[in-house]
Amino acid sequence: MAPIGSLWGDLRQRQTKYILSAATIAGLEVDLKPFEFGVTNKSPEFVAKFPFAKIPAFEDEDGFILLEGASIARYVASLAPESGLLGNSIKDAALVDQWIHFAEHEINAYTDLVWQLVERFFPEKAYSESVHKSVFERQERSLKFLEQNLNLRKFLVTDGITLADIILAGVIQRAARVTLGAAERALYPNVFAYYARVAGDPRIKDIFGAADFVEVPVAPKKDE
Amino acid sequence: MAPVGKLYCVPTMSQTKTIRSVCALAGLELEIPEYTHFSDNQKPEFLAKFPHGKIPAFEGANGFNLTEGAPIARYLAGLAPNSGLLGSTPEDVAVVDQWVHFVESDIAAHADVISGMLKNFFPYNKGIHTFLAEHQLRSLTTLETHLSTRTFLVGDRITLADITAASVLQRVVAVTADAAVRAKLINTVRFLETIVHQPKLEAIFGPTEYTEKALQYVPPKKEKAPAPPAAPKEKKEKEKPKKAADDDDEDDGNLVPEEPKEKNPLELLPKSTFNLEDWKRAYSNKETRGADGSLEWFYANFDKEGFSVWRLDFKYNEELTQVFMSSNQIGGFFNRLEASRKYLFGSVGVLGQANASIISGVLILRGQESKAAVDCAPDFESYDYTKLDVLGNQQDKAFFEGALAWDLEVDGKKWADGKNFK
Repeated sequence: MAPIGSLWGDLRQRQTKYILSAATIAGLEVDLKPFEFGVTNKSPEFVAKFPFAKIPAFEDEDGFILLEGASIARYVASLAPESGLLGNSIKDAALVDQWIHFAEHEINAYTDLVWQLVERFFPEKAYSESVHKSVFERQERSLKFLEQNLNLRKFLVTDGITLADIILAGVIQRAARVTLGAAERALYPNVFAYYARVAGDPRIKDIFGAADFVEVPVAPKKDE
Repeated sequence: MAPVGKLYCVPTMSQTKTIRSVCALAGLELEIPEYTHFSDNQKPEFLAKFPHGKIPAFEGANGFNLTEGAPIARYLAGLAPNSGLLGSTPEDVAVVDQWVHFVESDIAAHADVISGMLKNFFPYNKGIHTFLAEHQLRSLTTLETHLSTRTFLVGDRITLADITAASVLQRVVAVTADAAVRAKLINTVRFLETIVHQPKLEAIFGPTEYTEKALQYVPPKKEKAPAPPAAPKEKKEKEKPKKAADDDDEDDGNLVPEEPKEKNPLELLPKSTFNLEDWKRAYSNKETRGADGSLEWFYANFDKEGFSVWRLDFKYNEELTQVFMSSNQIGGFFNRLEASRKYLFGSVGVLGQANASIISGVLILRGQESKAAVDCAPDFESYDYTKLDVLGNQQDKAFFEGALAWDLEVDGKKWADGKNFK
């Protein structure tokens, strides 16, 4: 079968995982192009095609260009409505949408902020323990909510995996590599049982790869 | 026509404007019930429908409940396919989606953290503010380039992408994108004006507030008590530059950070055997109470001539509301004490519950007077400082230990959350 398009991404990046997982379950092939951070995204051909120069970036066989991980994943899923990735009704689709948005804004946004704080992407001395703690507390609120509400369903929206599950699992995997060490994860057994179920699906487990969860949450290095 | 459902929201949120605009253009009637945030969303009826307790929250007339602003907007737009709000081809649909996602992740997300810090929802940090504003500007520039040849973001009619972008931009031009920045975003401003003045949307968006200068942080300053006669923040007290070294019980306003060349008088005190950095390490690495705990270390090493222990109490506890906000206030106060990091340690908490709490704790500081160590924070006078005798007075000692161990209880109010300055 011919690929539906090309994807510039990185297998370590959660958004790239979403898109490839969606494609696999949708029975579609996406051609993952070689990408080297700092090299490919500075090359003139890449920047001409994708001026914002961020990944993931998608181009289909007809030259149609799309950015933003979740948007690309949704587009790919929409090409195979029978896959059930977007649910089976308008309301299902809205709920898939709701959970994707929740995963990205109410959990992942905080993982990203903590990562930036700790890895000192913010300027010198902008690490702040109080900001770090505030941000983490917001994530905890969302995780507690998930923990209490995942009990009753096998998957978030329907009886099968939807794009919402793929994206939430990707977000959980990232959080467990940054903000949630072993002690923190132990507080959310339902969340992690759910994660294991989704990421362990034979169709996508190789895309999700090894868990690589951290023992303790990332912390700034003490390099005074 | 019957309303399509109810939206629980506050009028100023960008998501509210987006959702209401979608309904206006889609010809849908939306009911907006009376709603008080922080109150209604904690009631059982609300949580039964929306367990996460956040807004906006949509209750469909047919019993279908939905949360998360952008999904609500998309669902409602989808109920009126002829409106074209979602795009007219599968590719357009994806590109509308792409712009909505971009605006939310790369512009609104930054605006949210910046606004949050300016309003004390997060502790303020200038480095983070600057970084986020710069990144937001990079994204705004991408939008500007795209709009330089277009009236609308996707195709040639208004879509959900335009509405979402306009709602977010209306906040951005009031907070970060000031006159200087806007001079480089001419097409974006033109685009914003086009959308907010669409006849059916004008009343929803209201007037746009364009800030002259990007908003800066103003620390909460509560000077309800008459200002002390020493007038500490005036620069005119230059008479005693070096004499401040003399003694410990000086209480003048000379220790002003705006005079960087003046040596901090705390540097000029006689040497002490108590090493604050060693204390901070002991506190961080050991259990507080018990054998070989940090308290044991403290009593073995403390030098009461070189350092002193103080009780800190917020003066306006009746104004405190949510515990997390009070905790952020402590964090913000500690951030503003940064200049005294070498002379100060603190363990301060929020005791009690929402709307019935106090901020209280302890400071260990260099010298025998509190002011020199804390007046680098503009709001230091919002707190009371009471010297404690932790070696000789049992009550003072118990208070001190409770504050360090985070199990302090005052007037029946238990420690709920705290911060350390170390």
